[in-house]
This record gives sequence, structure tokens and C-alpha cells, in this order.
Amino acid sequence: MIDRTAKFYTLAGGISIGSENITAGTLSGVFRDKRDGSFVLVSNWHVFQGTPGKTRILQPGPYDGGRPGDAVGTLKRFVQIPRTGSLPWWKRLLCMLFGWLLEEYCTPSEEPSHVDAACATIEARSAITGVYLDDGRIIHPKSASGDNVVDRTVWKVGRTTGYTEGTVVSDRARVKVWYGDRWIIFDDVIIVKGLAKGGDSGSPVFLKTGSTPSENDAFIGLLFAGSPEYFVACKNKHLEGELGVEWP
Amino acid sequence: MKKCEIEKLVEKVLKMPGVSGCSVEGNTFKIFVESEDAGKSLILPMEAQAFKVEIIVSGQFTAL
Repeated sequence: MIDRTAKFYTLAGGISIGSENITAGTLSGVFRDKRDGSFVLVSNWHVFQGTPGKTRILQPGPYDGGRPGDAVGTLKRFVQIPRTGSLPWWKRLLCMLFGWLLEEYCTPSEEPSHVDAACATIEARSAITGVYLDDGRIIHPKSASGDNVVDRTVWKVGRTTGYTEGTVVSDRARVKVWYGDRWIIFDDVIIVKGLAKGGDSGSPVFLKTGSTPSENDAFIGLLFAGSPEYFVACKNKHLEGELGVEWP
Repeated sequence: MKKCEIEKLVEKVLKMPGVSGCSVEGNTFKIFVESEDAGKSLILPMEAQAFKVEIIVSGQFTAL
């Protein structure tokens, strides 16, 4: 079994990554930027958090030993969440301390978001499309929108819990997610009964078609949140539409 | 029920304490709650009676 927190000389989905400002998350994969045709690294916004054009992306993420010398790219752009405005500083402070008790007060009234996603340039090592399985092989599943997947079996690969499977319980849910200092509402997301833990954010999620993971499976979205027995993923179709990247 | 009425129902229920998420799948209204107690103490709006309600104890969702 591979150690997903290690340094990888070939970048592909399912390994530790993070901006210099965070601990560690998971690299979703190498995508094609629809705006300029280049290949980019993709993960959640809260994994690549920083300033476009300035913040360095480290592999592995800082928590796993990533240092400035492990930079593999620079934050290129992200989808703003929440979609408009933000809480004033005093309200954010109050919510940081008591937000878990004051759900309604600390939930901004902005338009619901669809994705927690960002992309980065590739400036070091080799990068290929696809995803690492637990045995170290890289496979290249197809892609799908993320719609009409209720009751289907899916799998994901993440930095913390590796390969896990689950069952989709909703493919059009509206949820509220705690980001440490505020609640953010997401709409049209996928909820899966399955295992994920801190550091798995960014894990690519695939629709399973056979008894084992294969290239006939389809990428349907990015894991970004969860609870002890469930995880939440944003859909590939919103990733394409709002971040402007596609699973090649 | 019209699409905009369903949207309003979902929005209203999501604001209730202890609710983590909700969705309408066909004739079923799925409500994801933080705990069993939160599910038991839910008082749903009248509009929810148009659906078969399914309560799922998912826990609270946090960014991972």
C-alpha cells in the first residue's frame, strides 16, 4: 500500500497536497484548464487557500513535511465562497468562538455555493492525469456530471483514509458546512454514506461500475466536507462551469 | 408542489437547529440531522406533509 503523505515525483490524484497556508489536503488530480488549455492541479479552495499568483502549493502538504523546496506550483484561481460578501470581523470572531451553538446567526444569507474548488499551475516534477490506487498504480477513469447517481456505489482516494467506498444517499442536496468560523451553505451537492476524515478534502470521487476500480468508472466530483459516517462532494458539472476546468 | 415552493421548503428546513442538510428526491423529503435528538425534536412546516419524510442521522458536516 502506498503512503499518500509521502513526496511523489509523479503528481496525480489522491496524494497529500496543500498551500503554504494550511495543513494538508488531497490533490484531486491534473485537469485541463478550459480557459487556456494548460494542465493544472485541482483541489478544494480551503486546501489551496491563498492569493492567486503568489501562494505556493506544496507536495506533500505542510503537515506531512512539505517545505518551500517542495513547491510544485502556484495558486492560479479559485471559486469564491460564500458567493457574495462575508461576515464582518466582529461577527466572525463571535462565530469562531460560539458559531457551533449559533448556527442560524453565523450562517451568511448569501447565494448558496456549488463548489469548494481551486486550481494551481504546475511548475515542478511530472504530472499526469488520473488517480493513484492503493497499490501505487495510476488509472484514468472517464468523467460524468454527478447527476442521477442516487443509490449508486462510489469510491474515493484521499490522503488520510486512502481508498474507501460508499453509497450515494442524495445527489441534489442542500447542506450547511462548518468552516471553523462560519457556516457556508452549498446547493446541489452529493451526500455519500462512507468514510472520510480530516485531510481527505479534495479527494476525487468516482462512480463504480465493476467489482474493482477501473478506467470504466467515472469521475463525478470533489469531496470537501464530511461527518463521522458521511461525506459531501461537489459535482463535476459545477467544477467545469464555475472553476473552468475539466477532467481530461 | 411547484419548484419554487420546494426551494422555499428546503431553505426553511435547513435553517432549523440541528439540521445539516436536506433534499427532495421524487416524492421523498430527506432531512439530514446532527443527532437522533435533533431528528425527534423537529417540527416540520405544513408543506412537508406533501412528501414522505425520511430522517437521516448524518452528524454535522465540517470542511475536511
